[in-house]
Amino acid sequence: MYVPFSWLKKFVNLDCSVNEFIDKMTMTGSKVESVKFLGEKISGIVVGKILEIKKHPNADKLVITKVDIGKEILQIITGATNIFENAIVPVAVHNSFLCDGTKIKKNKLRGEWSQGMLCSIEELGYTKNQFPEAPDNGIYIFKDDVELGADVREILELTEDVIDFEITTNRPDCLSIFGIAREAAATFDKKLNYPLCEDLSIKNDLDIEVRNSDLCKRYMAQIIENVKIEPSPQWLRHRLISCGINPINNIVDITNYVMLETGQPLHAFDATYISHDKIIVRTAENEMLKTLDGVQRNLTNDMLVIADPEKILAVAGVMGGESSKINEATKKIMIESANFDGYSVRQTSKKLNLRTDASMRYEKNLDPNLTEFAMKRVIYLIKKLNCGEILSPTFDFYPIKNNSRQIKLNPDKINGLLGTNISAQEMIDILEKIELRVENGFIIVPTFRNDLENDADIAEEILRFYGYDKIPFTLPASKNIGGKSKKQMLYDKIKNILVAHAAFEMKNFSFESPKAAEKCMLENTNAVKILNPLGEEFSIMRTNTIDAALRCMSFNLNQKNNDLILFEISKIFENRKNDLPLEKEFLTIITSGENDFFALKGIIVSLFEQLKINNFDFKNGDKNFLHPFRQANIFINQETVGYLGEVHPQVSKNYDIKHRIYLATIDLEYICKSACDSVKFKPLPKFPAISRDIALLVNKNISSKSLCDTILKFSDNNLEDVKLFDVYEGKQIANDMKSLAYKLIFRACDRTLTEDEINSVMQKIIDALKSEHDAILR
Amino acid sequence: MIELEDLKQHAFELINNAKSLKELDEIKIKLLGKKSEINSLMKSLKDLAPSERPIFGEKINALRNQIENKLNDVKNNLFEAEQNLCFQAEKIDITLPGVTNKIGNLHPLTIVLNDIQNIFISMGYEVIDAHDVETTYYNFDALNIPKNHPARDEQDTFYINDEQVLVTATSPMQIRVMETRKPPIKIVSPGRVYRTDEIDATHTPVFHQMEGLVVDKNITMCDLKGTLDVFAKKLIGENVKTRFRPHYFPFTEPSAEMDVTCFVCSGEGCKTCKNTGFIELLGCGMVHPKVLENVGIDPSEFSGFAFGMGIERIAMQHFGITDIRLFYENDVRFLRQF
Repeated sequence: MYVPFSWLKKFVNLDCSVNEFIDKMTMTGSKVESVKFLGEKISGIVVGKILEIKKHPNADKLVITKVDIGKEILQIITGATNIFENAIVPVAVHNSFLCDGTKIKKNKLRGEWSQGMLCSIEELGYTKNQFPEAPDNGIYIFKDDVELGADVREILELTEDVIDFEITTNRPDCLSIFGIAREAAATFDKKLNYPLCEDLSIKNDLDIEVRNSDLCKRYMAQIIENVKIEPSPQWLRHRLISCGINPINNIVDITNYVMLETGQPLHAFDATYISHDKIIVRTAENEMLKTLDGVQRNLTNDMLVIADPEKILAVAGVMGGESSKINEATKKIMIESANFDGYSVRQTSKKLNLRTDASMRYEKNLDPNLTEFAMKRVIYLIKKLNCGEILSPTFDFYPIKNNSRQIKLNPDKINGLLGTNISAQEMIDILEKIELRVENGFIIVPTFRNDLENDADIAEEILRFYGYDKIPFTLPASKNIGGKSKKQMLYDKIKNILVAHAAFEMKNFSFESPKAAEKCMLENTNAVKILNPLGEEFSIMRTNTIDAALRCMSFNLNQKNNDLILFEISKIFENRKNDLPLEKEFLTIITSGENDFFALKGIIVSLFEQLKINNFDFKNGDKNFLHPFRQANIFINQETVGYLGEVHPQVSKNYDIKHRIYLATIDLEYICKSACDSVKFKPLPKFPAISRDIALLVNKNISSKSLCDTILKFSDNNLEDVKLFDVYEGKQIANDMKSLAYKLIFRACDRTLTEDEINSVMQKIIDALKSEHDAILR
Repeated sequence: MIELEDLKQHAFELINNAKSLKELDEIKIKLLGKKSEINSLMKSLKDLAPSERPIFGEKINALRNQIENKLNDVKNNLFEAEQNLCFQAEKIDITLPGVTNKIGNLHPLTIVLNDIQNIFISMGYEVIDAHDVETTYYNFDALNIPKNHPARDEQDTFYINDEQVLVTATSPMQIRVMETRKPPIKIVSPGRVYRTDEIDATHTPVFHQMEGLVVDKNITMCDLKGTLDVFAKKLIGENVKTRFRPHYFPFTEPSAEMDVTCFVCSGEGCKTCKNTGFIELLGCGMVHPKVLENVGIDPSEFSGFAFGMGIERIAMQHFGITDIRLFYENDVRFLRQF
């Protein structure tokens, strides 16, 4: 909402600076987005008088002028043809700026010096619409005898501070200069001056039929005759320009002006185009209308329109039709000041993808009583500016009056909520500043403050003007005990363990492309689809976590970030009938470069060990998106909890990855179930350990796991640990063989073991390895 | 007697001339060993008259002690000198790089969110996880945003179907918590939220927020201000100033936005804060009586406050990040900086 400071001052006698004004307004709830100085784009352009015009000796189409800019006389070359001696013109002197950012410098044109440039209105950043006296093509000529050397911004009244307020949806009354003025008057404790208005005489003698009184609570209309269409006076045009609205003609300008001033959208119809002199407010029946912006629009059944018996004239509250538009020949008009349902206007405006100054006000549900204020003001201005004659009374359809609401003033409740000790009288004084009168303990809420309903609303009004900054800082007395849940702490721990293993945490969007599953060679699952996605790429909720992980890895490898470990704890979503989607959380780890299968497996084992998960195991896996012989399923307590493996080259290719990539996914529900948080201390060993190394030559197909199983099975209770410390395949042994070397550590809890004891156990183990696996001791 | 003094002179001379610990050891054996003169003197005591023995014995012992002390002194000096030589030979170039273990990093959003959560945990807040998909009742209606409310259209919502949406804020968790617990309630709830914003330097369709909610008897607007002032000081620094401005949210009344003194200029006024000296940090307010009624809490008995903040926004200000997209690119050159 743009508010020119000078316009606001017509209603409130403010004597503060703009900065002080916006600071205080911000603190009473009118938030300022920005302040702009209207003529900020141009600088250094002054008023000059052309003293003489001579032909350029070297160019037919150029002339050399002498221009008096007050303190000096400049030589300026121009190609303009509309200039004459004694004309007063805008002069861009050396080092000045035009609106498009061009810096003007003195330079030579065809061998002659030019010390600046004469400007058109467009070069100053405006249009002929805004300054109708400007010529169609050529240099702007000032009408009056203005001071030479003066800044053109002063002469064209472009020295205005325009304040842009952010208006919240609960305050449609502030979508107007007058509404802001009301807030300003209360903020600065000043009197609010109402704009001058014309009294109305109401007589419902027009033929106006409102069929949908639920969507049109009030319809006021006024016929104006003997209309003279012409440009508006400069002060009026200037105010529209400062609010970002293009002046058009006196009638349209007045309706826009009053809308800006009061917040009530108005529309003027050329009455000669209203067939049968009858207006019908109804819903459309799949009809077409060419709106003022020249676009043919298809109006669907739920859209409210203003029509005559033959055709649609306007989309109610959004935009008028082109046929009944005010034009230079218009002689008779109908001014509409109506109240349309906010939701209906919002839906219509959304469907037509057409948001106007009118619709954005109606959307917020305006006060039906506002139509009258605006109509009075419009008629006043039409009379004052001699735009036409009012020969008939005003029409007013208003079946159900919107009356003032009453709220009991409850000072104890309000003080209780705010934590303050404001007296009842002080509350009353504050409320009266914003036109909330208190009578017999009841607050009479004016209809333009439909947002006020209860004690909390009143408390906010009081606090706004008492001062949000004046109440103290205290802390609640509640004795709650806070903290994270076990699950949240476990997730923190998982993240920290992974970080200690050189992994970086990623965060990815929760969206996925429907093609992602195919790209990852996954089955399409029961995806949660988004009705209004931002493109297909983001059209379903994640059904897997590996697509994003692969995309991240691909991105990083493209950036030459190698040897990576990335991880994410994220949700996947599954559609469920008659319920919210299932949200499941997974840990995903993806690695590259030196971080191969066993590095990844090591991270997982280390993670489980740190989380005190004991009963885990890895078995050959069967995922088709992984390398068939380099993958494993992960088990905890015999349940599958996830997998790890080398990504299948086809999948890597789908993500433009040329390196070998390893991936693990673990269902966090199982981790939460299995992680043990009660660790029991084991006494430190009292007797020394004895270790034995064995190297075994076995067939390549024999797994290390099966050898270990045999070792465990045939040893006694004193075998403390078995560690693989070397794997060898190569020239020194047969092609189909491999050598595995293990360290076996023995220890008894009650004595030092003897060589004989260990030898006999070792013999049993070696015999078993021979018989079960054909293992040869090296 | 003179003999003893000579012996001492001779011994000290020998000791003082020792060049190494090894040489000193040899001197020690020579002076005090079995074959030493002192030892022979001790042995010769038995040849003296019994009355003279203790006097002479004492003297020999004294000499022995003096030599031993001297030996120790010189030994210490020699040891120190030899050690110094040794140290010098072992000199290293400490500017060579340290040997580090590779380490990863938490995502900057996790780091900031943890900081924020910890502040509230220290004030007795429980952390509650949030849903990503919610019913329109929890996302809108229960939060006093009925079907035809303008705010419902303004929050560019992703719809799953007529009844389900991707949460547009973490506020729906307020309702879930109040429905299942009785006051006193004191929770924070971080989560992902979704808006149909096209991606640019300041917008992503997915981002993170954290909601806070306190409901009890006699909770006041002053408690809201005090709590969030403590939060801002712990998050940013003791010198930070907070400013509460009136604002509008459908589910709180009175409502406010909290500004803090600008991270960049500390309130002097700069480009970042548009010369206001303040930066908007979060939205907050007293829980709307209609919201309390919706969850069956009697607003005449209980009151509460709620607040919500954008994590990306805070992280961007905290770390000086100017493009929100970096959070979701996961470039390790970015991730390792925090």
